Amino acid sequence: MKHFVVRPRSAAGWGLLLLFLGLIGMGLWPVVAGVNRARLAFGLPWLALWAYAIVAGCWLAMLVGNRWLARRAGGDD
Amino acid sequence: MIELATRSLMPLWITLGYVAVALVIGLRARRGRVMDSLEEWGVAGRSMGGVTLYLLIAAGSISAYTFMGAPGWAYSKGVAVFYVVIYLSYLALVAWYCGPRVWEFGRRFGHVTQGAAIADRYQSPLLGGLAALVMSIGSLAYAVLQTMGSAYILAVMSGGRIPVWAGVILILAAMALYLYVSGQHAIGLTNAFQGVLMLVVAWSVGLWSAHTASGELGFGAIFARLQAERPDFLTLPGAGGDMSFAFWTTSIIVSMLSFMPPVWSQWMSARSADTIRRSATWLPTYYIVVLPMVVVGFIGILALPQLERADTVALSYALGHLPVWLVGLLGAGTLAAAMSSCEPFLHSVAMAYARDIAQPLWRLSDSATARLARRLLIPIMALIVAPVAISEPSNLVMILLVGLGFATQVLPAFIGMFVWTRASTPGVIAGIVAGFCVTLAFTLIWRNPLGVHAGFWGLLVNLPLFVGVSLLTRPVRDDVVERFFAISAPGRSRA
Repeated sequence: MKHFVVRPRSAAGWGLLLLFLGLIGMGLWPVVAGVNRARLAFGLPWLALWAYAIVAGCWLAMLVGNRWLARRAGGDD
Repeated sequence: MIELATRSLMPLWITLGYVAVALVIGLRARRGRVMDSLEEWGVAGRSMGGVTLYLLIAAGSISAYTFMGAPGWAYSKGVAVFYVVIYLSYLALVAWYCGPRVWEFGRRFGHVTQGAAIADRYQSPLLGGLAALVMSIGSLAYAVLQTMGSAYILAVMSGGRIPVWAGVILILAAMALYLYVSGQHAIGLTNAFQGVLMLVVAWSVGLWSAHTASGELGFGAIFARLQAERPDFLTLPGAGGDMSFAFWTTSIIVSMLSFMPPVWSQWMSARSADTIRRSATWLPTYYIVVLPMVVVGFIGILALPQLERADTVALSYALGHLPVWLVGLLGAGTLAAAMSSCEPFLHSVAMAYARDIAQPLWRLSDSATARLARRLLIPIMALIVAPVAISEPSNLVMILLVGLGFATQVLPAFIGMFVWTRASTPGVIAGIVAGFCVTLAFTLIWRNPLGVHAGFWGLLVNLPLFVGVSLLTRPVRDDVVERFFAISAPGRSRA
């Protein structure tokens, strides 16, 4: 058989992959260094707020992914 | 040695009441089903709905660490503790992508354990058994730590009346009973109960503590005071100076790539692939449970500056400042966290020993393997977990770190299932062995060189070796690879 590395086969698939990778990048250096300040926002330290922004981002990204999969299953994509 | 204690018996009764409720829920979870197959006892007949699965995975990932260790980290290091919330959310992304594929592997090929899937993909029962055996080291160390945490909580809540050895026996006996009777069904329903309890307890304790400490029903005043008096707790590398950007980043990557066996069983217990996707989608929302307990740790920085053990900060603050009923609820919540993450590990070790090691070794039938898995629970608890937990070994955390380090080194086996068709058996073995040796050396001898997590160093050696050896050796049979990638990459497997 011809061997391969699995990768997205549509623009929406690539978009979702980049969204996931972007979210992962948000939690790592060097991005985290940018919010590493002893400041508060909404009563929380910047880093804590950033962590929960990533949590919300992951949740929203998967919601988008589900919607895309549902549309693809319905033949719209 | 228990330094903390409560005089009132109410916290003990609340904590024991929780154990009794968990026991009843676990025993009733069987609901007349016949538990004579691994399909039923091991993966709940692949029947779990979205809400149960959400709480099963969520509660399983929240251990006693959230109620004791995480406040301790906040107390000793500061905001560095939030790396946990981030990697747990990334694990949800992994579950969203890999979970439905694992479920489909299980449904089509009859896998009930992670080792069985590895053995099948690489046509090597040896590799499946080896992975199961070594994964069990980390799993058992984890289960022992959670059992020790449970016994400690019981000792504190009883004011020392229940010694650690008795607490260990009590907790293991309760889990053994419902795990033996109801298997994965018990884990599903008890975790659902424990998951809700933990959420309620964490927010009640967090908000009450914040109100006691600052007079406000929010966390802003606490952090404002810390910003003024101890700003080093609000940034990396933290007050201890030991959470560098390198360690933060590599810890998240290593934790995100650890495919622990119980998680595999949880995915295979779902009713459908879509159920896993929906549960994984909402999983990050559960991790708000971490925030209030972490805040208690931050309160402790100013209120309890002289604590000897950082991981007792939440209990110490509760005993000194909260009403006894809330102390009891904290005991129940902490016990729930410990049990909800301990029981899936014990269950998966029993399954792995029976299915991935004993069955291929002695050519057991499926029904004999299922009986063996259930019966193995008792010796695993009585001969391994209980004696080790009672002896409270000082090097257990090290065993756990090595075990979890290995879990990440099995990554090539999963790359060959989900991403790369060319992965070969010798390539996977070479990567795992090399990665494990490096992780072991950088955990025991030269700890985390250059501030980089030992498991990450392991991956830096593991992955290139895996790719190189795979390209130089014979790939797995085409029909096997096509079978797996018809699921992992539909429409591409014959490209």
